[in-house]
Amino acid sequence: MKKIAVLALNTFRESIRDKIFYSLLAFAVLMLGFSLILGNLTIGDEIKIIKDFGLAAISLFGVLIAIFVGISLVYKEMEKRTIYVILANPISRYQFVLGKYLGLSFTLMVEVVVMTAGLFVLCYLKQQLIPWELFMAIVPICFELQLILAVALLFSTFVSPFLSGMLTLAVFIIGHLTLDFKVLVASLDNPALKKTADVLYYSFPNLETLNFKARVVHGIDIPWTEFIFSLSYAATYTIMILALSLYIFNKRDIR
Amino acid sequence: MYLQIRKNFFSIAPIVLIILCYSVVFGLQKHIDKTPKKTPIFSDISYLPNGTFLKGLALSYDEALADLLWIKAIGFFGSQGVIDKKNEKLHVLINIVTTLDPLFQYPYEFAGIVFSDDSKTVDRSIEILEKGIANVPHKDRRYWYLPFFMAYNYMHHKEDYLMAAKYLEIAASFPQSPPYLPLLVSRLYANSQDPELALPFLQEMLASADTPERIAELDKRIKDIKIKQHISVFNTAIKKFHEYTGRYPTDLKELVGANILKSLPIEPYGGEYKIIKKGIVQSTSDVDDLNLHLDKKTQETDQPLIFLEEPK
Repeated sequence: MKKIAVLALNTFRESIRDKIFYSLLAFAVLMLGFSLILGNLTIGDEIKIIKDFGLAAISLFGVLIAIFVGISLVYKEMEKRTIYVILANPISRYQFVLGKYLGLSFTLMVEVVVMTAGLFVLCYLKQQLIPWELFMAIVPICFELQLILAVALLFSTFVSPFLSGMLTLAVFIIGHLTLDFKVLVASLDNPALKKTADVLYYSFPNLETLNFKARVVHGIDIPWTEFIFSLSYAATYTIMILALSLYIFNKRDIR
Repeated sequence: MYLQIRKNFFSIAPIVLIILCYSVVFGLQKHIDKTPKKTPIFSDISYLPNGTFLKGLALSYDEALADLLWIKAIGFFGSQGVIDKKNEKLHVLINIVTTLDPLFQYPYEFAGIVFSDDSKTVDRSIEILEKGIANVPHKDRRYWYLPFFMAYNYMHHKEDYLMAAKYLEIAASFPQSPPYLPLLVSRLYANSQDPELALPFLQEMLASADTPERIAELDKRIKDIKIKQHISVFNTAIKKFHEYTGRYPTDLKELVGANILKSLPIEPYGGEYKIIKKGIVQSTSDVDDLNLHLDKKTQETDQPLIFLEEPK
């Protein structure tokens, strides 16, 4: 456990120093500022626009950081051959992968915390009230980011960073479309297409189950059971993908 | 010496080049902006894919995209006046916005008002408001505006007072709605074919009234409606009486005598019902005029949208 923590801390330091992280974080903060301008352009309900854009920025830039920083996690170590130095120590492969994952996961949480603080400050300036209820949307976003990070790590164990980025992005897009596709196909009389939709639906993570943004912003109550089930779904999926990453990484012949 | 000059040149040259290029870019942009455009900036709106398609494409960022298009819709409405008189493009935009974020109240209210301005586009207003009534959460503090403007459409454009009253009844049930709404509902019901429909609604309002003025106001309206209802029954009875006897009764008791009415109703204020001229019945009490007086001509001008006010 201690070894994983050391690796995680090291990965966190490494990713925090990454220029991509800072540039993305800067853009995310800019997007928050942009929401303030948009809020002034609308008729009424400025706070709604600020919340929408704030949550979208937390999610979008979190996903971008997870993809752009996550894809090179393992691959870079192999390419620079630093992995030999690490694995020459009494560190198992699973500790290495988990350490890498947890390190970047912590980096992502830093992004979420910074952005959330920024969003809360903006909301406070507008309505002298901190919208604590937004956590009901932010927590599922965190779980989604963890899942995407796990996917990025999975691809990072066996393909190049570019391909890994493309594939992770594809999973993110498909993850948000499978439900729509399933609903769309359900109205057609094509059994083959229905089967394909079903296969697609159960093969990819359904990221829409973690999308509570609209309901939270509009103050609609979210049933606790739905909330807990969605988070459990994401957590289980993440563990499954991490297990798959470990399996593939263990099988890899690193020379 | 030569090397020094060369070194300095290469360190300064890129900066000079950047400044030079930026000046050209800035000048060109200014020039492009000044050039009159043949096509309006927003002419491409009708080529936007429909909301359902965009919803899929937005990848969970539907609300942020809806916000952007909503702001575009407001800007478009403010700038296009002459170009798009029927607000066709505004309709496209609002449909997309309300599909991307069906819970967002303002676009429904805005489009509901804009399209209710003209009787040719009122069906669009009704369609958008219906969508809003079905989707916007009741918790929204401006929800009541949706049934309110729906009632306006039915009352002013469709002259369907019963439907107008039903929608206004929904609006009146929200605590944020103005206190005069229940009285307006009863007025609309009184103008429909079934004035008695107003009674259960008013009685319910009376039960939840909390100030003596409000109680007195609602109590008076209930009595007025009852009188209107009684007079409506008298009118039907007098018609029957005329059919049977070929003449109009001079006293209401004749209606009981002819077995058309079982008994005479009690006037709620303690006054009396009297036949004032051929078949016309009136109460001796001071009853409010519950008839709607819509001045279509003034309403169709560019005046701001004003709902009927209660007589002072």
